[in-house]
Amino acid sequence: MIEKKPNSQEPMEDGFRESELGSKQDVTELHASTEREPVSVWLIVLIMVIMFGGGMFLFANSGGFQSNVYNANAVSWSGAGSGGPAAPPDPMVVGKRIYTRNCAVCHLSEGQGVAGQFPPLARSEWVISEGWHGDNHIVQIILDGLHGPVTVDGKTYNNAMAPWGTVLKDAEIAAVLTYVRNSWGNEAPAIPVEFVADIRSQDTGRKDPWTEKELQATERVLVGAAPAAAPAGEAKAGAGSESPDAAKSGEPAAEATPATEPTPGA
Amino acid sequence: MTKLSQPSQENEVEASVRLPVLIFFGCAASWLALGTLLGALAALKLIWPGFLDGPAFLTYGRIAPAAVNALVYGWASSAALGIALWMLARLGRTPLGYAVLPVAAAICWNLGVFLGICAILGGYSRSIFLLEFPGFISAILFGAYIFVAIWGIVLFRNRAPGAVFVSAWYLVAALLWFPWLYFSANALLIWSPVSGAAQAPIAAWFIGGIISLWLAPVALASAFYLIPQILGRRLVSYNLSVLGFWSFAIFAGWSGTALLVGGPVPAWMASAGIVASVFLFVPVLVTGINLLGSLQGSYEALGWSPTLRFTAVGAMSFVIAYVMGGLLALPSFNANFFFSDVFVGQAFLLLIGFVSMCFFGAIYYIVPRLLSRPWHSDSLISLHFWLFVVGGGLAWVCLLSGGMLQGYALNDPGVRFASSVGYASPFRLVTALSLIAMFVGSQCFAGVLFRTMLGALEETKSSSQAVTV
Amino acid sequence: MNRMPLLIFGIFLAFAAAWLGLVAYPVVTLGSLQPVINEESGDVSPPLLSGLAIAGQKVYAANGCVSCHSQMVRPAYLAHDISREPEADPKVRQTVARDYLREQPAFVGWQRIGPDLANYGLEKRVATLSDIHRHLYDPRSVMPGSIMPASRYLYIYRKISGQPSNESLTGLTGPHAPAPGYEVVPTEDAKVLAAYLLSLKRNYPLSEAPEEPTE
Repeated sequence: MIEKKPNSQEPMEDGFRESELGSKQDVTELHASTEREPVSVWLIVLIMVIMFGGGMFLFANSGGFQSNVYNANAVSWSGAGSGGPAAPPDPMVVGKRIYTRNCAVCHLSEGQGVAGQFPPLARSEWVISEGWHGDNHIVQIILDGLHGPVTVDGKTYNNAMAPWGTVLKDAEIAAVLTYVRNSWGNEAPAIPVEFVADIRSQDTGRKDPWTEKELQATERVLVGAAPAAAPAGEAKAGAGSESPDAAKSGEPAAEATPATEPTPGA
Repeated sequence: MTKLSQPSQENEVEASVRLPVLIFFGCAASWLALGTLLGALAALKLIWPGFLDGPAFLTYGRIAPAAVNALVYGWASSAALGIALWMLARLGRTPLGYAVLPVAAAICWNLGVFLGICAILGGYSRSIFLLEFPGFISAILFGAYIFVAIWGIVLFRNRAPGAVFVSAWYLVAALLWFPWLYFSANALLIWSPVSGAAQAPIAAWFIGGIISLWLAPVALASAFYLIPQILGRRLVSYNLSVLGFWSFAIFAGWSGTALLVGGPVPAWMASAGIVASVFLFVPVLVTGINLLGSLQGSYEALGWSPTLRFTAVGAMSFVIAYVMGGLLALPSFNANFFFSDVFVGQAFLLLIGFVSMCFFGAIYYIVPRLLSRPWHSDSLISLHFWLFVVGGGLAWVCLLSGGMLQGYALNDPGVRFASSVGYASPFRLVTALSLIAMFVGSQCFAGVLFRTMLGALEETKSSSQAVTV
Repeated sequence: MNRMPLLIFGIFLAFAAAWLGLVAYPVVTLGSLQPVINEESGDVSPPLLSGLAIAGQKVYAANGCVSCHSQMVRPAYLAHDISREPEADPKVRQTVARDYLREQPAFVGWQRIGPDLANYGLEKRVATLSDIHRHLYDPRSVMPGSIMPASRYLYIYRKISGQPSNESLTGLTGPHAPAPGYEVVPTEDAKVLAAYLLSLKRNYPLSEAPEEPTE
């Protein structure tokens, strides 16, 4: 009910108490004067700092403001040549698809091969470019095929592998090789598209499948490295100096790998 | 019954809005009671899942959305419409005829909410947060709203010439934003849904918009009006209120997609949401300085004015809730606490601590002036205040604490999911008890509101009888 | 600030900017996304849903499952969602807009009172529909300590007439297991809901969701 305010005779009806000052002034009248109170400079400075920081964050984390980029860190405004509006497809995913459809028929789904018939790819020195084997050799095998006796992991196989150069595009060859080189216990650097393209361009005119002896005679080239001068060395050095950057742009997630490769002396 | 005599012009203005405003407030109080009851029931079910788990209409998945919708569309939106109407009439000092239309609209709105809640409990929920009502019901709500809003805008257009106060900006903005917000979201998600791929950002935008572009502006309008009005002095800085209004208007619409950090939207949308949520620090800082600064030295007034008490709590919650929102948008916090009770706690503080408290303050100010009589019981009002402050505050703290533990557990791949539930459980129990306390508080509020209205009704009856006799 | 037309214009502009960016833009860009067809294998990503699963979405909506369960996998650079999702091949990845192409509405979800369900169909312990039915009927008999509400109203508890129905749930334990001579049979709603839950697999590869390096 209505209580009395402690030290006044007035009933404490909050419903109607308008103003301590006694005059009943409407809020609009109170603020009607055009007097403008000064706004603190520090407040303005703080606001500008907040907005500057926010703007920087927005531009750094927007994936280029594109509708198909879901990774905030993926594409930056500096336009580091990612080669197009879409984030590049992951070679492991694409490579696996190609492998399953084309290669698994003979080499089987885990790269284990068939004893006596098809060499394994899992932990194969050919695949990870150990010893005399180079990255260019496996590219050449895919482009032109392979026949005759070959030794893989101490065992000999004598069969024929069809050429795939007319069936698979450079990007597909690069993807499937990257996939094979990083699956089933294999660990080797990815093959960039430009590397495959270079080898294909040097390879024109070759009609027959390779033999092991012929491959052994071919200069060993690794992705990203510029070997000592050789007739094909110039082109390879060119390929070598481009590879780290190509590798960088080809795989958005694997930023670390190019850094571990020797920088080409260019 | 003492009555202060008031200028007759104001009486006319008050009289013209009385009926629709009282209908809105009466229905709002009922929805508040139902909403807090359902909310308490839902929270209890998280602790004792076997509690009342037989019938379909009592399953958590229906009770929880029913509670939220009762609180947002039933309590908060009804109260907002009533407050907006009254305040536009007051600020414009212009009465308006054709009161039948807003009365009919008020009835339609609340009928729509009632049908919607029944639909949710009956298994017809559309299952999009805050858009659970079936399509034809949201169409009813939209139609009812248009009538109220037209009436309000016309009221304002016919205002007496003079300066336009800051509250009016917020009210006009809210009345113009809500139909666009509600129509877009319903058209694209409910009435004629777009592809599922495009729905996530629209849903997130709508959630942000309902709070920040509809309820918050009305609550701010109420706070900006009541604090100077009761204290009889100017706001600390009128310039700041201009800055606060525009910065809020520009950034609030973008803040919804902070709910989709890492979500199925282009990365720039989530980042824009993060940036907008942080940029909201600007209006919050500015408006906070204005409102809380204007409350300086008003401790005595806080003692006798429940309106000021509620509004002060509302203003403080406004600052805390939006600062929290900005921090929670940052990826490092978002990664850990999204999907946990922490976000529920922040939404709770926004809806209950900020919006509801400001609305309580406004209703406690408006109703005596409409009915020309004081409140029936000051102790019920005081009980209401403390139950909500203690209950709501406790619920907020528990949701945050339990949510933080839950969030860290959710984001730790080495921790089983069940552990995150276990961490949150004791806090959810206290939250449920706090919600029960708030339900009791809502009963106090409804009780004092209806008793006062009944008292006014009896008085007019007896005075009219006295005249005839 | 006393000029109404300017005020109205500014209010309109402020709202319109966000509306264009967050409503119009998604409708135009994301709304026009189509399923991706793999030329080599003929797979459609996201895969077509059976009619049962599409009906199941309506039951999922009607019972408010989205109030507790999210269906959103966040990328590895942000959170550890992927590590919590079931192991599968292809590996589970971040969910992107195209993943919700076949859902109406998109049940993205905002809370994890229960676990994320984006890849529920890949869970090893949910091999058959019966597993799902048992979980829905009495969650605590399958997972003690679970706070998931029981959906017994989606099932019919009835006396066995003659032979037990071949749809009746087997392996039920706990206080709601059928008494001897009684059986529990799923309703149509339960069957389509289970079909929908089993269809929740989002690990088909999409070019806009590149696989992330594991930690």
